[in-house]
Amino acid sequence: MTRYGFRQAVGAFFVAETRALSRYLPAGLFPLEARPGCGVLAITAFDFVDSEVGPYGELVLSVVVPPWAGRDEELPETAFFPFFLGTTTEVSREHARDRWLLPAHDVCLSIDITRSGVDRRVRAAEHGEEILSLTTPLPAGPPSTRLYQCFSADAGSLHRVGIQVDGGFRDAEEELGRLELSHHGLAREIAGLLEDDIPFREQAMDAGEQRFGELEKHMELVS
Amino acid sequence: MQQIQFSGSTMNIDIAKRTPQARPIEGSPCRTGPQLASESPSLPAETGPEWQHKDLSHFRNGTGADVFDVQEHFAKWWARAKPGGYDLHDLAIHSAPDVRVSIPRESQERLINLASYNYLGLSRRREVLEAGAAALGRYGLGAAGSPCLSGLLSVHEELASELAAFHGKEAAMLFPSGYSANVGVISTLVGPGDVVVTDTLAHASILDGCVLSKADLRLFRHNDPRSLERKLADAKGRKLVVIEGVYSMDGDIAPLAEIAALCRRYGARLMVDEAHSAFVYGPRGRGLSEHLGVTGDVDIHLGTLSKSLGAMGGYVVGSRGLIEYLRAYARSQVFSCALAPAVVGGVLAALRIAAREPELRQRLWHNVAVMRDALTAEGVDTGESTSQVIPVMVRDDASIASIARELMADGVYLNPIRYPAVKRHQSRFRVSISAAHEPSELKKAAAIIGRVLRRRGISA
Repeated sequence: MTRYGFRQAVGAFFVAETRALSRYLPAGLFPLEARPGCGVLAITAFDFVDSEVGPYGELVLSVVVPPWAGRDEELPETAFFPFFLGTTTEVSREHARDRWLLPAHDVCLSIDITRSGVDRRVRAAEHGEEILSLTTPLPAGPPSTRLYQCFSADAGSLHRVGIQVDGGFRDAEEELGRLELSHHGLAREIAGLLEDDIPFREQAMDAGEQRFGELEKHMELVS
Repeated sequence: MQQIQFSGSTMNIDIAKRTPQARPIEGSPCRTGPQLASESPSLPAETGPEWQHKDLSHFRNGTGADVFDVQEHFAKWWARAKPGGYDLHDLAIHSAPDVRVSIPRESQERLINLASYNYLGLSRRREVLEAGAAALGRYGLGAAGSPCLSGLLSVHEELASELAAFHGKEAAMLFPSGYSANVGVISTLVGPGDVVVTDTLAHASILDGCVLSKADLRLFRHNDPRSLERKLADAKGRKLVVIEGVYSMDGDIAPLAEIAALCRRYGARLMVDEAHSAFVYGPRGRGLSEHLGVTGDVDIHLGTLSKSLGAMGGYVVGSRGLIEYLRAYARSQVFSCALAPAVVGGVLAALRIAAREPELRQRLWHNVAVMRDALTAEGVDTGESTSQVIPVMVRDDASIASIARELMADGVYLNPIRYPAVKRHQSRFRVSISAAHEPSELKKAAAIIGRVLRRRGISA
């Protein structure tokens, strides 16, 4: 079990064309569709304060996919396939790559999550150049425990890991969140994916902990 | 290969190179195959009892090694969710679905029914019942065949002819249901290489027709012509826009004139599903397009026989050429048994009443005004509705089922509607007004709704 304590986290879920999202997925995974032809792009940011690689910020872009659970396993809330992971420290990127096979970017980003009243704002930048700003008006929510699943791939295999998240939780589908994208390369990549730049769902978590299980080989990938 | 070009670096996401093909590892086979469309993604729900962390959307997609594995997960959840409120969707009514209904499992009283589509109150009119009985006696229980193979009876022809005349169109075609009408028409008219554009809140039958057509499906923001224009602006080839007249979960109406203008500008055909607006809107009851004066701009007009006309079935009206083409290729009709003659006979009588008694629509709209005023006076949030479908916004997914039970205990029958049928935290009751309601009953129902919601801390 690997633990990551966080001060706060923000998630925003956007509709994106299924075909466009499919390009990020390895064989064996398919975008979960919010509507016919429309998958879900998740942008999540965490402000980790306690981990085995110290405190760091994290920005993840993922394709939401159906979770996998055998008959006797607990069915996760949902599953993600991260295709971009940026962090604020080199050691955390190495850790994400080595431990979880996640596609960590090779440059440190600056990632700030700030609160002003109920407004939460995520700002990410690289070398001082802003990438994105994501604002969600979500008050703190009641304590909650949820199980998610994360897929990752290396050259030969697709892997999965269960992630239990504890902490204050709040979500909304009021379409009040806002995403501002810059001209940065990653921002343009995101803009090219989105069907709509207003998230259809927003989430916020406070004072919580992620607990990763063991990374399991899910399937072999053959060329 | 996906390449993310950063300002200072380049990140390659070479999925194709890393993972060109997949095969399950022994003992851990995984789900493969095409992803089916689902109404909503499986994302976390609100806190509360454990089963409330999940909803119907979580089990829509297969999981596990076997196609039946997901049923195990569903069964465990359903065992707790059903008694927690989902059983309200399995309630049997022990009477005709009239303005008062008997639901012995919930109440010994006859409840004021605000949940049925019987907008003009025709499903129990003596003339309608007698016509249905006469058709039953003349033709028997079923049509005993597809419309193109022995199932077409003279009563079907008569109804189609009168529907076309009612709408002022050249021809009409009947379908077994409104669902099959949308699926059949859309999947016949467009295909691969075409573009079909519809509203994000379009009915499942419209979306399913679009998916089945294999056309390029584009969704525009609900009732937003600017969003529609963005979807049409760069669309190449043949284009079809499909919208509804009245959207049944919010009770709001389409900006049909603006949408029709966009269709003209971008060379798109326009199809309007008037399931909830035909026989209700317009001086002659032809629907929202007549109400807004744009009937001539609508290429395909679709309706149902299950709402204002009080029975079942769907229909489409349009040019003779359109209908003849659909008769040849609309598989949902060609490969289905024709509507039962008793239904068609009854609908024919209902249609004639709807055509000759405009006072029914006047009475309906009077009742709508009475109910809307009464709910407003009670401080009830009715959303953006301007139609005979009035949402009672509760916005509490966890408690709406128990509120529904309280309403029934106090004398009102309403269905709880929650995610994924509507957005998360936007759960509601959908009030359907009928010309058959007595205004006094509607006022009484509004008072009960207001009282129960106040008791639960929901109304103003």
